[in-house]
Amino acid sequence: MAVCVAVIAKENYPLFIKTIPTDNELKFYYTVHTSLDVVEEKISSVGKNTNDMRELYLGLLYPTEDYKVYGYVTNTKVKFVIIMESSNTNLRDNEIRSMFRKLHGAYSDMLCNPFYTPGENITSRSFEEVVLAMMQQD
Amino acid sequence: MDLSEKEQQVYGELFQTCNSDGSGRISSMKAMDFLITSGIHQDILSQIHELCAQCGLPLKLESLNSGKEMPLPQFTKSNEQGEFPIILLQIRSNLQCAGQLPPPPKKSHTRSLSGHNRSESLQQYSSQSMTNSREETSPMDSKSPQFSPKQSPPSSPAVITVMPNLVPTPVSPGAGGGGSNVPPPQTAGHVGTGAYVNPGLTTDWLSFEDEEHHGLLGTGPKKAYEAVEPVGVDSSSMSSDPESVDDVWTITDEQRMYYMNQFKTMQPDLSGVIVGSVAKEFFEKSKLPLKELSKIWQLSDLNRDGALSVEEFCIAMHLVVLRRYDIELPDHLPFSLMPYATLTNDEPFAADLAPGSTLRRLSPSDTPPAVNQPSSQSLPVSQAQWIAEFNQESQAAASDVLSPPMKPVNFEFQTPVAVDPDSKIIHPVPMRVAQDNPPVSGERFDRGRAFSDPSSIEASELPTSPSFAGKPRSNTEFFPDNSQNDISSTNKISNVPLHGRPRPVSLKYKPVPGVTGPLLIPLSITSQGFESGDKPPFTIVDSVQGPEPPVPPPRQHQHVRRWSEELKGLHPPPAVPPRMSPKEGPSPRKALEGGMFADFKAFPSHDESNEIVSEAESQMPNTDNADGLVIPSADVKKATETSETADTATEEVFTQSTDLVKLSTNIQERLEGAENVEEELDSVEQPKPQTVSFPVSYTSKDKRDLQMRLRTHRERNSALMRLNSELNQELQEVMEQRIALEINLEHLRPFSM
Repeated sequence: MAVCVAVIAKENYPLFIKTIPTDNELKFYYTVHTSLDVVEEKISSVGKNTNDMRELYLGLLYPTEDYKVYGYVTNTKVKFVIIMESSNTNLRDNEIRSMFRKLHGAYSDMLCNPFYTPGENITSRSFEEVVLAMMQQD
Repeated sequence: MDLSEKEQQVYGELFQTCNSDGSGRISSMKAMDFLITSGIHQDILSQIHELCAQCGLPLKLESLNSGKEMPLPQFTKSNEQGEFPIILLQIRSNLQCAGQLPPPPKKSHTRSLSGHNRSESLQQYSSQSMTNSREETSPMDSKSPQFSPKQSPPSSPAVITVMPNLVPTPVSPGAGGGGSNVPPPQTAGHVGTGAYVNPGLTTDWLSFEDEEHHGLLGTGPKKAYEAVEPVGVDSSSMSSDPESVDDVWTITDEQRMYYMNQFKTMQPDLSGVIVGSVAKEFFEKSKLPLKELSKIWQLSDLNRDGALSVEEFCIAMHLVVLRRYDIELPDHLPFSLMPYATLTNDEPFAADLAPGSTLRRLSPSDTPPAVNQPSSQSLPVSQAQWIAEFNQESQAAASDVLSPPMKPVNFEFQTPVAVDPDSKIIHPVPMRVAQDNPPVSGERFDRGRAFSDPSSIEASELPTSPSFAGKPRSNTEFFPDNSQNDISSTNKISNVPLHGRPRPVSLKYKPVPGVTGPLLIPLSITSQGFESGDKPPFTIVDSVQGPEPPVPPPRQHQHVRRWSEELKGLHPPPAVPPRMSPKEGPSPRKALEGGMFADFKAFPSHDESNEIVSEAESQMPNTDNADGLVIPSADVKKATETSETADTATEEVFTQSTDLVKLSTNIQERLEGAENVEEELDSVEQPKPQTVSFPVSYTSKDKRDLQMRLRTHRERNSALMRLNSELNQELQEVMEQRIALEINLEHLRPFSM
């Protein structure tokens, strides 16, 4: 159900983008790119409100006609963006949360690999597997 | 001294590899490194160098090779050339004294110097070491190249020194092909060389060579030297080859030993871990592309903690080595590489090994066999003494092996084939210390066991599995164990979360039924409870009953009636809240109820007789007790006391108040009792850490039992909680009654006044 999963570095360049095979992958790239503004906004606003405990999950960033975009920011300001089909109405917020948590876990696992330099594009197979599983099963 | 064609060819290749810059010469530094990789003592090397320079012999790298790995025949040849038979003894003595570290070269040559530097710090030559290690791994390739004919002379002298001893040996195969190829080295050549070579290195070399050799034979990807293989290859070494084909991924004991030694260079504590950055530096020496290393890491860092435990390191190292041999990396960790997957029944001794027994493999008796067997076969009796000496050295070497800073990292070994099946059986798995786990548990823990912190896991787990199977069930028995195992068990529990971590490799993470830690914990608690109470189910009940207040003294009907009468108007007597009897707890219940509700029930009965009510009312106004009762925050006791002291308290009021007090005290006591129960429960739970250990020792039967008990305890606990809330409710009602009474008193006051 997730049609696109993106990991974006702190400096807002993409580390990893995986989309379902489609003719129009670029559309997702744009969508993700657009979402960064919202993420930025949310981060700054959240930072003001509660500076101590930040909620990593940003919730629904914005909906489009066909998709809903959800965001998540790690403590190191790495952003995760997941685009879901909005046709899927029975999707609960908790499920999105758990997806992000899973993604975050996979990401941090991958970071544990000393042969990965933070900031590089993510080529880890295991990470990709997690993402693919997310896109298929959900 | 003539070299066979094959030898020439091989040496030429080696030289080519070393002579990367195409200058036709190998720099002394490079040559030095190369030679050092051969594991020959520096003294010898320096002598070799000298000889080469003196004779101006066309050097054949063989000489180098011969020193190290070359078959005896070469040595003999070299002997002819060589002039230093005497030196051998000297060298040997030096070696023994020096252990692994090469003593400063007697004669300083450029080579020797470079070698020195090397010894000083691994890091210095780490970059070089890779090339060296490479060469080492493929003995033929690496060695020969350095000593191209021009430079080779130095090596020959060295060989010579060695040679004298060897000369007697009648190794036939070695002469022709031996020099050229790997296999021979294991046999006679090794033995002979072994004496001269650093003890520590010798063992390593042996294993490597074997591995390589096997790898070549068994695995598809072979190096060019395959073709070169000498005719004279040992049959013994060859025989084992087929096995290697079966599973390239299996780590043989020798390999494991080597890996362990490498591990120790970075992390002396086998139970420790190698941090990612360190491991990265180390593995980058393999010259494998980062991408592949990354993949290897992914496969080997089983618990995803960014660090490698011994086991994980072995896996990683093995994968790197295999990769060096052009074996494609697997997408998933091969089963044989999974921790404990390799443990099978064919390693009967694993279980027997004590935790500290790791070194067992290293013990003189053990190590030599692999080396010696072949050698003894090929070597004449005269060399028996040499062998013995060698063994001694190897002993020393074993200890030395642990501190391998000197050794170049060798990434090239190959498939695992035990050199000698017999020896394998005889020698328990070398890894034991680190792994610590008995094979028994092997299957269960296979998947889950990628702990980066082996110590905690192993320590805790080891005792568990064995005890599980064999321990008798009686509680008394568990106690002693518990105390001992407490710590370990706690560790284990703490570690449990590791298992849960999501992994890409699905197989490993599947929880093994019955093994899961979390379940055990609760069980242990219950068991603890039982032990303390002897009869688990009843302990709590007893406690409840104990604190229970004595039944209030019989009351005088009159008094009671009156106030109850009054109450009736204001508040109906509290109805006993309906209780649900807990499953198992009818008995405790009864006790409680009997005590608790007797008082309340008394009320209604008293109410029945109304005769004196009016009287009471009329008298009430006169009471001074009101003072006491009126006190706003007064607790009932206080009130009663005051009322007692108060001179003119009417009996009725007094009794009423006392009744109330009794009631409340009763309730309070009961509550306290309940609290006690709870406390007891707590206390039961507290010991948990201590007891934790023994869930492990329980058999599955016990587990079930424990679970049952746990359940019952929980039920009882919940029942008590309910009771507690009920009592609180009652207390509240009583308080309300009291307030009502006070109000009543207040109303009556004017009259009394």
